[in-house]
Amino acid sequence: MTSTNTIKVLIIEDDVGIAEIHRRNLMKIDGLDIIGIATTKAEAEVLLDVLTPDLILLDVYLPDGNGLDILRDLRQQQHACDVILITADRDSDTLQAAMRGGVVDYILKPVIFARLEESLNKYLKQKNQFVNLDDVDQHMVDAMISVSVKSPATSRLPKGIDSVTLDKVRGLFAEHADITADNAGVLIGASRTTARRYLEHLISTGELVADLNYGTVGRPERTYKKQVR
Amino acid sequence: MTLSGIVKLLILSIAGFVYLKHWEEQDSGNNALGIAKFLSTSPCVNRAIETNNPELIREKIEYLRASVGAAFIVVGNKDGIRLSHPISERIGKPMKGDDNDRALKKGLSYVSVANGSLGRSVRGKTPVIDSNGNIIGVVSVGYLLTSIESKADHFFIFLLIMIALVVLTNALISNFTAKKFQNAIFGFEPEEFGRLYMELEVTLSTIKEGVVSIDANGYLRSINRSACDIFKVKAEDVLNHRMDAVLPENNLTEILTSKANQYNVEMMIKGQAIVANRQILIVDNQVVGAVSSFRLKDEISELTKQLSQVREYSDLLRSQTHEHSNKLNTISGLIHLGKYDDVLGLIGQETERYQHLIEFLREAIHEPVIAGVLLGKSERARELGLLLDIDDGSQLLTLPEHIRAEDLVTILGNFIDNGFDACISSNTLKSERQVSVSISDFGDEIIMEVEDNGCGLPKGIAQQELIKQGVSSKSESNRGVGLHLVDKIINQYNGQLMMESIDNKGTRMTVYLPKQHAGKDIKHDIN
Repeated sequence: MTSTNTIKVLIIEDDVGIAEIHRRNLMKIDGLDIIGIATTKAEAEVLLDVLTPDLILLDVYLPDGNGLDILRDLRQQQHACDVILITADRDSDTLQAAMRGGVVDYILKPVIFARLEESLNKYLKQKNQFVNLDDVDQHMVDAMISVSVKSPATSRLPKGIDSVTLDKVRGLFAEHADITADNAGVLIGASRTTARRYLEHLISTGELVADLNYGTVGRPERTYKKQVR
Repeated sequence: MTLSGIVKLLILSIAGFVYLKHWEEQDSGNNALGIAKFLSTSPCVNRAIETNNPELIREKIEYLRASVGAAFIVVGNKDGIRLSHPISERIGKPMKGDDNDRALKKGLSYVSVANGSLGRSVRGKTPVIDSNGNIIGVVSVGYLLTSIESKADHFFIFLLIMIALVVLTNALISNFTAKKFQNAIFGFEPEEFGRLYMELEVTLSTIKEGVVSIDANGYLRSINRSACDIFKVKAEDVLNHRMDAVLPENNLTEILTSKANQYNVEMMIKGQAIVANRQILIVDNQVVGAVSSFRLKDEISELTKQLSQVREYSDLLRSQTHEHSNKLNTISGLIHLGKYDDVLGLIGQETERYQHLIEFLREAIHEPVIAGVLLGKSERARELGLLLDIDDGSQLLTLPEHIRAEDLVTILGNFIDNGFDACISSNTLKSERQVSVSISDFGDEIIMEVEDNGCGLPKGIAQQELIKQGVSSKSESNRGVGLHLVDKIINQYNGQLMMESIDNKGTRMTVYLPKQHAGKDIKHDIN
């Protein structure tokens, strides 16, 4: 954390032109201080050590190595440093490495500045919240981490579950003893996967149970019915 | 029946006949001599010679001659004058044949062949010796050769008949066997057949694939060199043994009963993965055996696969480069026209879908390998010209302790690949080919579902059969193990697998994996 509220940014990008464009665009954003540009892996390693940036715009492709190695080294050395990955790479290994390295964002080239700006602003907002905070409470954490909290005790619904549809699905069991995801989908006017999402959610809250029904065809079907209490 | 056979038979018969004739002559001669010796010692004959009185012995001798069947019995004095002869006019005349000397002068007994007054005859001659030891005459008993020949003629005729019979039966039998033989070898001439067989042997030994065949009883009938190398056996050790005894891993005998040909099945033999084609052999609607050809699933097939992927990839790159230069062209045009917003829109549009997918994956799927496989497969789909649709409502947060992410990747990857294959090999319109994935962990189970609108499940194969190791409905050799492995993983987690055909247009695979360890009760919070 810096005592001043500016974030020190290092740009690691092999193409000098693009790096320069990043720099100019980032200068328009308040609260960012671009402290350096590295165009090779070797250069990046030196600058990381010397300048200790708070944020890195990191390209995966470097002439003398791979940006993902830099990310891994950062994590191993416990650098308190955030990373926004910027890459033209579209393979799954890069995504996996990014996820494991805990990047702030993953932006594909060609970069649309609006998208980068949005990402940086969101980041700055979070940063400032942390800075102005003396201690953290659960609501804060929940807001920061976009992981839905699966606690039936709280009335908060996970992402992808809205209360209107949920009530519709609950209502189905007033008329039907048991129901399949297919039928539920038809009845609430949604796809079977959507219907199933709600049905499964209701299992986690303990309202429903799922069961394998060997239907008339002899083919097992998964049916949902009310939990008997 | 060859000519040489007939010649042999003839030589044998003639030799037999000649020997028989010779033996008959010898026999008759010996008989004649015996009779002559007997007569020479008879006192009656002695007296007749001494007294020169033919009448003494005429009747006796004539009776004897007739009873032994001799042609003549002649008693002569020491000058060779006949004292007895079958023809009485010749009595008193000198003996014919000029062969009396050895008997009359040297006192020897012998058999001779000479021309007598009755014709050519075999005769036994012996001297007649008086009490003082003087030679006083000769006894000659003769058999006509013609009568001996007529005796042997019976045999000769019999032999000829036998020859004819042997030749005839031989001809019949050989004709029959030849026919049978020719039928068995498709009317080939023996030498043609021999050449064919050699060619087959050489061909089998030169092909790189291993080939084994069994007969209807499950005995190993042929095995080529490659197969020996792969099985690590010597041909002479296993040939004509029961297949399930010498090579138990290669359960080829099963095919004889199931009568189902298998293509591109994967098997493990002596710790090596092989890919085999196994076919039943049917001749005249009879199962006569089965043949299996196989090769090692080695680096070469692996390399071939990679090479084809590289080819695809380079094609993709080429087309992308082309698209790219077109885009640049458009952008430069738009800039020239001052339409900057359009430029930004065009650039954004390119990455939008992908960017969206990545954001979605990072948010909804917390397991990097699973996010990775979904991303990788969606790119693969793009290369194949189909769409991988990931359900917006999918969610997979932190996995339970005991569930390995790699196992979920195996299941998903396999289902998605199968979906791709089904789409590609179906007649669904190219623009409509789609594989949909949905993942849920909202409830007490992790649910993964993959749907395609491809060719549907193979008809006539039961679900259990599809799962069985090595059965693949596909032509690619690297797939047979997939479902079997998936099934193993699902069982290990106590989960369930469902396969359904959707309206005869596509397949839906659903897996349910309990989040709880088996045996634990799921406790609900009761609100």
